[in-house]
Amino acid sequence: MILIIDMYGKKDALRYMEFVKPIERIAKSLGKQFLTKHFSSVTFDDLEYSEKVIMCGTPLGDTAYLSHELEFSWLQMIDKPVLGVCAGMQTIAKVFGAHEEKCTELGKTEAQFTGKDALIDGLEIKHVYCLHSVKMSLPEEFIELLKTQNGPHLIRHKTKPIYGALFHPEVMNREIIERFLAE
Amino acid sequence: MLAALFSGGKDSTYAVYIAIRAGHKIGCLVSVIPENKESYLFHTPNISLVGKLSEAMEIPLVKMSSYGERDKELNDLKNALKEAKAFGITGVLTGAISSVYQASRIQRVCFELGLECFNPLWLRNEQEHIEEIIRNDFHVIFTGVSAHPFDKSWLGRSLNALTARELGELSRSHGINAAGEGGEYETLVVDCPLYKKRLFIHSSERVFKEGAGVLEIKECELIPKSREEAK
Repeated sequence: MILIIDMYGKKDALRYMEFVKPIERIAKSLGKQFLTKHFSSVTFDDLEYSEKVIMCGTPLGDTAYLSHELEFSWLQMIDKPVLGVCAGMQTIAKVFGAHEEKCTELGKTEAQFTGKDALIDGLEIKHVYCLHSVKMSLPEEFIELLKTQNGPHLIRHKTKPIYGALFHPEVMNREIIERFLAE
Repeated sequence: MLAALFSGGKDSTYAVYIAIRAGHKIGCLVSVIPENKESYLFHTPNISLVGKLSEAMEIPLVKMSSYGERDKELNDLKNALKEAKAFGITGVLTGAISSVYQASRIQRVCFELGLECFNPLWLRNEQEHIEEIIRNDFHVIFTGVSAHPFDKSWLGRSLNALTARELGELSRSHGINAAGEGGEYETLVVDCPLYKKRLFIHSSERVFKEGAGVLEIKECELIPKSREEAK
């Protein structure tokens, strides 16, 4: 089962439709079972019984998750594959010691590979879709796989299968999510 | 309280329907009326009917004219949203499904104005989307076509189980976006559960040339719904 984590600060069905439902659709299209929970209600049992975890994005300006670091401390312990999208990436980076900086990137943005990994091997990614107002530095325990002119946009933990994409692969480059789920 | 970007087409109207069902209030509809029929951002055929449709929904309308030029359209939208702020809105609702061009530009305008942007139809499966619209009692007609193999006969047809199936077939055979997100076709909602009155078209004309066409609505009026329809 895939655990999909909704990262919004304020519960709203419209935000769920825009940022969570597209991820659920990809999982469903691959025949994967999933459980969707808000980050504040994720339990150790949820993590224990999940095969992989995807942390979703949020609307521009909703960065409440960045002040809930303690609720994501499980990221330090988990050894299962995790993919953080936008808000999810920012949270992963923050938990692993990165610092945040204001940086607004909106829409189709040029990007280039800076590292290698099975998740992106053979993919041709020249653009990514961005929707964020905060960027993160590269945490010490991570390597950078892809960047835009504003810094790291796809990162991976050096020893664990924990990935963070500051962009939205569900909009452009959906293969990243498909590969993550299929691997 | 949200302002809904509104063209009278199926997607912007359905987004309003979803938002209201989700508990949001729509303070006003916002329509940018392009003078250029080839507008980059805004739906065009019969957009002059938005006033009637706003009356049918009993939701106020903020209307702004635009020359429909690539970047100036965004300024026109920005001015319309500034005006919409008088209705106490904190966010903007759109019917964008997959157009990165449209969605990112609207996101930017909202960001600059300190408004949240909501896209509840974002990345929907197009076929499932049109089928859901039909199931929810939306009466939608085709008012514009601009891609092969759509022809004059599509103008004025209703979106129903049959046309939805045909769109699905065209999607597979010709790569048409079943929801018309690539501008392959345009629609008008003549009735739906949001309307207190329905739009009755007295006369219209199909104008089709060089592979593209519009249904020009000449005369129409809002008429009361029967008790059954009003349910």
